[in-house]
Amino acid sequence: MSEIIGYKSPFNQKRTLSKFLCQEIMYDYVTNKLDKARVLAVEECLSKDPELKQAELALREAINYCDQLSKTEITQPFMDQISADPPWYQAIKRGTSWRTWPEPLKWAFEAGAVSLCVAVFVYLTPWHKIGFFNKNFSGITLVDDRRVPILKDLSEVDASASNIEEGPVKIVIALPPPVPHEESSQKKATAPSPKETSAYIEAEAKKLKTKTITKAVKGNAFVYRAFMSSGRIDELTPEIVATLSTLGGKKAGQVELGWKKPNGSYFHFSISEEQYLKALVYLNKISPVTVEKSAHRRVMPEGFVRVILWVEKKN
Amino acid sequence: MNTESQKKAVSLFFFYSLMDETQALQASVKTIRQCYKTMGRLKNEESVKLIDNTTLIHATHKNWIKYKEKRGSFNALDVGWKPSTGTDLGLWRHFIRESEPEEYLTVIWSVILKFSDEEISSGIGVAPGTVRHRAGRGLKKLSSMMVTSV
Repeated sequence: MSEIIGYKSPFNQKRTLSKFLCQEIMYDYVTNKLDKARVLAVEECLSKDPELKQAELALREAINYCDQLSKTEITQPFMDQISADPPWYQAIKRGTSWRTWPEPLKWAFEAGAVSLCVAVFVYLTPWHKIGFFNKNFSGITLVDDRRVPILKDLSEVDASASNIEEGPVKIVIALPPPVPHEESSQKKATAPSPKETSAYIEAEAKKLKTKTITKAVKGNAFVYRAFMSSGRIDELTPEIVATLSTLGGKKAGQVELGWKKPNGSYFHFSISEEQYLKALVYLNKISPVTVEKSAHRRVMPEGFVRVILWVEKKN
Repeated sequence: MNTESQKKAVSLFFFYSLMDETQALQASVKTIRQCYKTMGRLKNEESVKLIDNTTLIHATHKNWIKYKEKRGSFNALDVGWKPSTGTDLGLWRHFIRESEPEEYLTVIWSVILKFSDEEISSGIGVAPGTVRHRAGRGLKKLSSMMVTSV
């Protein structure tokens, strides 16, 4: 092909470079990495453009500066430090350093530390004092009999039930059958004499069946809720108060016995278990009594029970 | 490149890339030990078994990534490293601050330490053309700073 007259090979033609391209290959030109044709093209650009010439000189200056930096000397003590083996304690220190631990080991250690902290927190926190496991919280009361309080003196019983002791508990429930009784307007429940009342009540109490609750509730933590109704509530209230007082009942709440409300009378009292049966017999005589026993966080002393009696006014 | 010159190259690399003598010394020691460990334990300085430059570049790159985070403010006390008389290190610090890490690292390997483009490309895992492009870009930036400072 080269023998053909007038033919010019594209590879032998003179290259022309744009300014941008010349700038891009300037580094290769300065480091002698270009072929002859490109070198000629770059030199032609440089001769025509003073700005490119300036850039080429600056580039050479930068390379000379880097050559100066390469001549930096390193002192012998430093070289010895680089070459020397570390002392044994430094090697141990480096090996046990947290930064040298592999990532899975670091994660495992951190997870273990967090788990330990959570376990210690759960173990040391007094959950029972916070009430987290309180039975009433979910409808069930859990009472540890080692911490069950028992009052030695009834006078210490108050609404807050703050003073407490420890002691065993026996739960006895007595559900006297409702005594059929037709209330007569002529019949007045006059306050019987103490001797007659107590003799009668004792006799009636002996007839009552007792039923022991075998439910595994520790502590004397319950209350009897009694309900009855009567049309002579105004007359009966003082009598009931007198009879309960005679039997040893004392107010267990903040209101007096027989607290009168528009639709009835309210009696909140504590009484010994023995007298409780007699009280029930007495009340049953007046009107049928419905009694429910329910758990309550307030604990009574041994041998005593707490009763909330509501006598509804019957129209 | 014998072992002595390789050690010097490693030291210069960390000195000029970290500009902190304390960190540079620690990084140099660690890199040299890693390289020796890679190629086999070489306690005998006269051993003819040399560290491959590609391995050296790879090790310096890896440790630079670790130590660059620990680097504090520029701390060149000129105690272990002694630049030649009249060399302005301020210009170099300015260059480090203003340019990309890939640019000044390539300038250090290629222009200061004079490793070949093929060795650098194998060491850091890029094409030789990329190495030249980065070196050219870095030097262009450095030259513009030289013109500005003058």
